[in-house]
Amino acid sequence: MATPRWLCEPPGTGNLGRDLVEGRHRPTPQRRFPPAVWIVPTALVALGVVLFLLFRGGGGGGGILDGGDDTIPAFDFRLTRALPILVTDKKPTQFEATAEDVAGQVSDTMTTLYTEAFLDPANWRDGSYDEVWPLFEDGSQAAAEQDGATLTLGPSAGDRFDKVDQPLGRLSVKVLLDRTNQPATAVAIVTFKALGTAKDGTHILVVSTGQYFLRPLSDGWQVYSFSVSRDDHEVVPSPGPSSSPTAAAS
Amino acid sequence: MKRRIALVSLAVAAWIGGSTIGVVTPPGPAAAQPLLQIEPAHAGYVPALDGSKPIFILFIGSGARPGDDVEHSLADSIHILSIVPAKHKAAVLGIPRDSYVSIPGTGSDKINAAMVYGGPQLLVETVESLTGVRLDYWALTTFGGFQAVINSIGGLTVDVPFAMQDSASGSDFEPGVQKLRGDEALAFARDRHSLPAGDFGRSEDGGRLIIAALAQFRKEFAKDPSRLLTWVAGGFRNVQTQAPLDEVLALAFTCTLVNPKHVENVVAPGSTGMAGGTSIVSLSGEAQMIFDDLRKDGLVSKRNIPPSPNESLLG
Repeated sequence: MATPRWLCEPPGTGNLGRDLVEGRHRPTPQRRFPPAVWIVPTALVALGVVLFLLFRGGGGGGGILDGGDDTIPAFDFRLTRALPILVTDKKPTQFEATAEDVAGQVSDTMTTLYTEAFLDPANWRDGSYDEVWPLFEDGSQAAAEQDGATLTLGPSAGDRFDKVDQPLGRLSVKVLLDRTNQPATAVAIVTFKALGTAKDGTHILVVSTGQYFLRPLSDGWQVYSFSVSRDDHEVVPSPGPSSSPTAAAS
Repeated sequence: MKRRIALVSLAVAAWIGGSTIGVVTPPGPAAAQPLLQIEPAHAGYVPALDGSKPIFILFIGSGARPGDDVEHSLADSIHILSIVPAKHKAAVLGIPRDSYVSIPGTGSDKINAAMVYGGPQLLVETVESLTGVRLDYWALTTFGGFQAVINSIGGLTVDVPFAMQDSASGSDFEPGVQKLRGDEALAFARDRHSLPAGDFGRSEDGGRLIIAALAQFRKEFAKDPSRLLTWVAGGFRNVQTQAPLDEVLALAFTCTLVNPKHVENVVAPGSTGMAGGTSIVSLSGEAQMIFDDLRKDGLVSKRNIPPSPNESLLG
């Protein structure tokens, strides 16, 4: 078999770019290309498709290998303090147990709120936080939805993040007791952090700090006022398997 | 031709493969990048009242001494605080305690006697009859209660407008911004001997304390919203009121939106005289114009604001 001429052609004698630009057409004889010419590109394209399907995240489903599935990271706020505030002259120490009890209930509500708002991939991938808003009382719900970008991971979080995990949260609760020493209102003072892995590979420490005023319902507590700040920033991932960028940035 | 197609195919394949691999490459280079601040943001909602109808609150300082019936003692200070939620504005109107007025069911007497005859409710009716203002709430405290309120919030920052020295009240202040303890704030509120217009000037200083409290409350709330509970509890423990706790909370949230710089501090003007052997204050026609103004929209128009009774000291 004769050696294909294009393999022997000295460099510069066949300039594809110039040919395309100048519109030159040089008739060539019929040739047979070696299989590698087709196999390699085809394999590369196939590889690309496979890799894309494996590693894509956000926008309608996580990848398989990057942990971007719909698993919700385990999370609970750590209660650091429960403080009773009285409108009567009784000693606050008498009502520490009441405050602890209320703080536990408020902590549950806040854990649900932050899990739904920041950690549940089924919510943030779609930018839909329907489970969050009922935790706010009617009067504050519209304002909360309007501030959704701050109170949640955001409507476009699915485009931005591949993964959010390693949540940490601290919370202290002040409980105002009424004249009959029943809980009237509570303030949850929260600090929440989680590690987001952005689509460009950078790591973002998601930080939410603020205060929520809650009122008791028959079966829990509901937010009626809030003052919350977001202070996300890029962090350097710590090396090693036991690394914890969240802790490093705390 | 086929060679060109092959080269193009190679280029396309390399582009797809390369860019795909680039997407999934682990984030090593992030470590070398500077830390970035990303979109700091704040979200807030204050459940303030938002009506255009003014809310009128009568603040009463009882002159009761220890052991006295607080609700049936002479009223030592009388102020109306009006809040206009929709405008985030407010006004304070002081009524001199010696104002000679008609007390419903009793006849003419000094206004401070109304509480002796019928408790806070009769004083409310008397003020309503005098001003035409329909009062929504009343709040009554004592000398001790007032001090306790101030101490419960950690003191009150007041811009003392002029030097004050009075052994009767215990006031001893240099002018300037200073944080007053409960006993100092009480002395500031009670001092009338340092002031040329006596009780008129003292009433203005009472209004000054109310506005100072609004300013401090607003500032503390902005920094730490949970302070609202401390203020409300401190007030509730030391002030008697018919207002339920949830309404006091709503009022407190509403007060956080009021800019204290835009709160007028007015004292009903009048002249001193005698009636039945006791010194009294006869409120002037200008006072009635202020009452009418306040009743209309909860605020006092600039044109109706009288000169400060402490004007000569203010310089």
